[in-house]
Amino acid sequence: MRRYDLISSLFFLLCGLLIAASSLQMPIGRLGEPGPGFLPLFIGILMGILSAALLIRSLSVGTSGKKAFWLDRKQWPKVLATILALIVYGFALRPLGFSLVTLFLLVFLFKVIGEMNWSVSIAGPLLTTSFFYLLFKVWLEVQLPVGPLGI
Amino acid sequence: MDILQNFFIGLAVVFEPAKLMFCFLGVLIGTLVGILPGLGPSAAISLLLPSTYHLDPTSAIIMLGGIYYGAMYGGSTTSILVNIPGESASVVTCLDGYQMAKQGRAGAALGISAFGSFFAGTLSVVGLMVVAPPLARFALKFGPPEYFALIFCGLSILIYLASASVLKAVIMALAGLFLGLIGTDIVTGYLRFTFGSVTLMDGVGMVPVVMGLFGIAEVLENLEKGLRRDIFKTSISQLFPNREDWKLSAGPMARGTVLGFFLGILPGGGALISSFTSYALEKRISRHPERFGKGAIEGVAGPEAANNSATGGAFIPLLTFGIPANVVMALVLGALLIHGIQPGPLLMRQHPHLFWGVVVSMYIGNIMLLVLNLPLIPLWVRILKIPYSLLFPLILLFCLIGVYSLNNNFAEIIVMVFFGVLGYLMKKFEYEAAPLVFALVLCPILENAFRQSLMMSYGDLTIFFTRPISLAFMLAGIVLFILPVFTSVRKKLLDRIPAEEQ
Repeated sequence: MRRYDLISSLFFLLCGLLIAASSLQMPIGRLGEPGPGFLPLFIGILMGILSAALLIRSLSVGTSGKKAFWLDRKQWPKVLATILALIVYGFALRPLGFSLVTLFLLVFLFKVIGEMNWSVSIAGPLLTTSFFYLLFKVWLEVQLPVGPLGI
Repeated sequence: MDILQNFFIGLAVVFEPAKLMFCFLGVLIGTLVGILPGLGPSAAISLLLPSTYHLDPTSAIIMLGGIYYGAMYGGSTTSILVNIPGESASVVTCLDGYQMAKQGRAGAALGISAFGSFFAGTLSVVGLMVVAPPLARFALKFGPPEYFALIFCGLSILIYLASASVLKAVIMALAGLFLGLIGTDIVTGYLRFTFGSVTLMDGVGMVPVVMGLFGIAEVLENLEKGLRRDIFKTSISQLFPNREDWKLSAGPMARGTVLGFFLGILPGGGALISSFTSYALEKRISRHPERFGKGAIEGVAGPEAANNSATGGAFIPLLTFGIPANVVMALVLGALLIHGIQPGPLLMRQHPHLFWGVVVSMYIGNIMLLVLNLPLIPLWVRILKIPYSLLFPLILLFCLIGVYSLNNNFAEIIVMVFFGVLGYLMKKFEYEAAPLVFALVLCPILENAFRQSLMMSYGDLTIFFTRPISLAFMLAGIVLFILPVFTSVRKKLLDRIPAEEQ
């Protein structure tokens, strides 16, 4: 597990340095009147120090057994695909409208990720999309984006 | 007599049909998310937060509160029947509850946990009514240094309770503080770390972060595991515990109630830690500690009472100081702020109907939960059988729409997915999300208090140590930072905790 600590401590060390460096560009103020850069500078420095401590600890302690990064090797494409699908959903929501994008996303999730059969993967998304449409758009009056089809 | 009078104010509020309905809706949703593993009260509340815009504030808080304590009831059902905690505060219930179920005593275990929850939940509301008013008067004495010290103390409690590593928990808290700083500086209007993004000018929202870290990350992790749940086979008979059960459970219930209430008040404490402490306590003082882990009913009664009692306690810091004790309360704070209500010492005076309405609704909600949980257990068991491949698209969709509808801004979806991936990686690298969220929420209050204190003292940092209340909190916080070096008990206790929320 120490290898993971090594990687993550390097990441946070970098974060801490970046935070500290960019807060130096802001007005720091002084102790009697701290400016907007005061607390970020303090946080950045402290984060840097602590992640350096974590880094040293991860180097000094011997590796205690190797833990695989993926819990199940075969499943990781699904995780990645789901993440990508959510991002695409975010960007497509405005231009294509709620109903259409939601339908596509659900069919994808049911069929590709959930490995359901086709009848479930068509009926499920149709029902779910209509339900969410009624719940959010009609009942709760949320402004969901309308697509080229007018729904 | 004051309390009684206030109680009647609350009763009048709650017995409007609409309020009763929202209370019922809350406890129903709460029970449901409590039962479903991988969906806890914080995810459920963040999903519903946007829809509370359309409600009046009292109904909104009544419903969100109902979800919180309702989840405590529901969580035990899953623990007892499937040996998977429905939500994190029911982890210890698995130990003896599942053993009881295996011995054919699932009914008694479910019964005692429902009655224990009811007993503790109700008493903790009484506690809330008694403690909150004097505490709010006390809170009026608080100036910026006291607030700073209080939040510092809360953060150190949370870090102290961190199960994996104190160092990592502090780093997470710092990361949370940093995220809380993003956006427009309230004092000077200066833009910090916005990278030219209009969305970030308003700061990083709590809802996308919580939904990402607790909702999306959880789904991603389950997808990777390829979750297949064991279907429960035992039949449930006789939900009423027998005389012997009652005799064994009375003490643990009473102790669990008191313990849970006070641990619930502590910022960063809450339901999870109180259920653990109650279990440890009962095992220690039991004359037959060897029975624990083999189906001892005390091991169900105590922790279940404690985690429900903690929910009542958890409302106290929010309603009196305006400081949330845990992530769920932070979301409730968010809901109040949406309606322009600033919780704090003056809440009780400025919005008595809201305050006492919410308090009284918790009595009613507990009664509803007792009725919902006992006779409807067969229904809940059926819900447990829904395959995950049908469930996860719905959870994801709720997250997506919930976040979008906050501000009708698609960029918030991207923020949420970012935190989903981050949360997923945090699980792999063994970092905890609770300190991050807590720090993110409290950052604006903390920074304000810090800057105002220093202006008051003309830059003299000793201001935090020369005022008695502030000094007490600072010392408590510092002790908690030093303590972990000397103790490893904490780690042993918390080793078994799964990754969901505080």
